[in-house]
Amino acid sequence: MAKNTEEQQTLSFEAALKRLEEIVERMEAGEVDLDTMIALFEEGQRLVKQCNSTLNDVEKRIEKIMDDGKGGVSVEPLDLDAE
Amino acid sequence: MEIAGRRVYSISELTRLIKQTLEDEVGRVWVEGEISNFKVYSSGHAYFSLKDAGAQLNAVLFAGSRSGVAAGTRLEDGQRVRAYGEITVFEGRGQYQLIVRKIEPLGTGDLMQRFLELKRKLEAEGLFDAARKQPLPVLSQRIGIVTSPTGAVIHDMVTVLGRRFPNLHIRLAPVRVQGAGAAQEIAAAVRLFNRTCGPDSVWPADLLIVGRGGGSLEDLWAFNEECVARAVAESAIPVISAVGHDTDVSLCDFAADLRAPTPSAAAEMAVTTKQEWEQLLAQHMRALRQALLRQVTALRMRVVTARSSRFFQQPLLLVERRAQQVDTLAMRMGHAAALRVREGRQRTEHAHGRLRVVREGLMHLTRARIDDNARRLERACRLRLERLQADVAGNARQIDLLSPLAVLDRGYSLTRGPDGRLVRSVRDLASGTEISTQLKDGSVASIVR
Repeated sequence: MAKNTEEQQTLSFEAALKRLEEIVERMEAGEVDLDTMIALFEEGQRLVKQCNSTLNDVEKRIEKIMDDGKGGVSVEPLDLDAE
Repeated sequence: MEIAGRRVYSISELTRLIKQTLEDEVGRVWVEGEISNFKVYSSGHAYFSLKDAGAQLNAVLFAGSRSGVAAGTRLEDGQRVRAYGEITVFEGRGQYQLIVRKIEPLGTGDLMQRFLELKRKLEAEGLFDAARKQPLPVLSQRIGIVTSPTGAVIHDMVTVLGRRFPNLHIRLAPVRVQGAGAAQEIAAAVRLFNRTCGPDSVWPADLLIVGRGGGSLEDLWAFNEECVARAVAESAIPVISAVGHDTDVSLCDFAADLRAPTPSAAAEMAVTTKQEWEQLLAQHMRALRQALLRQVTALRMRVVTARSSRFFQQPLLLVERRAQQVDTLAMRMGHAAALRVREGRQRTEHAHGRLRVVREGLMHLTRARIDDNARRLERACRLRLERLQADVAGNARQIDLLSPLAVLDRGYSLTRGPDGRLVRSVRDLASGTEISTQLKDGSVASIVR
């Protein structure tokens, strides 16, 4: 069970969404027994939670990147109004 | 005017000086270039630019000079022309320009020619193949933009992106989008993102937007350069190209994974609104709950139905029905057994009957044979008996004849010793021996002398 949860943590948003859609489809078809149904529901619930947190994962930021001339990159905040 | 030893011109003076110099030094010239931004005003005067890859020249064709337009000259953007006129300065705007007196066609514009040739070449290489196109990610949260840091374009894109997904992380690689060196900067920026913002980097870009706002073919030319098309086609990060307006087509558009009609449209296409995602997830969550609820309700219904069935309400009914079933079965079994027994008995009797007939027949036969044998035996016995009797009778007569007693009748006697033995010889007798002599009618004892 713990392993399963770990695996879900590494699912990409897209993969998680796909799995979620699969679960919804299976549950809506209704051809599973109650135990499986509950297991699916719990997994689905976790996936929704995971997807939602992914949506909020990234912080709003606008930056400017430039080649630092040494094969790397320099990143600095960008103030569009100042440009 | 001389101020403190400095020669200071008024703008008008300077402009007049430039105008004078230009008109004297350049004067009347023939030039070749491509028409762009061609506009005819209501006055009938036509204003346009003549351009090549590196520079542009403002030109005006006054209505009165229309006679100087050679036959077959298409006065429209992209047309390559040779024009004759004088270079002058339009003082009001501080612009120099060519007053066109004569103009003749040079075929398709040079840039257009190059565009088509390059397009053919890259197309043949498969650079624009649909198979090369990468799908855009479902969710883009880190977006790289290659465009000018100034002007409305980046502003509009950031606004649109921010409205659709408030917490996006945007990185801009500032480049020049026209003029000499612009193409190289754009290509380098695309490569910079690929080098430093790949999937394994700390800032993995989901998507790149490469573009600029509207302009003439010359303005947009940087996006038609081979290096830009190649950098975009080679990008491992999916690229949306947004160059100019809807009607503008660039090689960058062809090379990109997706072409957007405008930069703002690119921003729209880049991200699904966060709200839509949240709605979709909420919808899925609702569907999960409803499906589970439906299942539980269905199961509960089954329990209720089962519980309310007659059998649970009147459990005796079940027993009774079963009992009835048992009875019916027993009855059927009884019938079947009886039938079988009757059948068996009938068959037994039948067999018995047949057996009796056989036995009686057999007994009859046996008895007949016994009787027959008995009769034969009886007869045989009788015959034998009669023969025996006859024999006995015969023998008896013989015996009578042979008996010594019969001899006695005829005068013979029998003499016996003391021991009762017959005396057959005188040697058997000694003197003094008592003997008995049997005669026909008795015995006489005597002593030998």
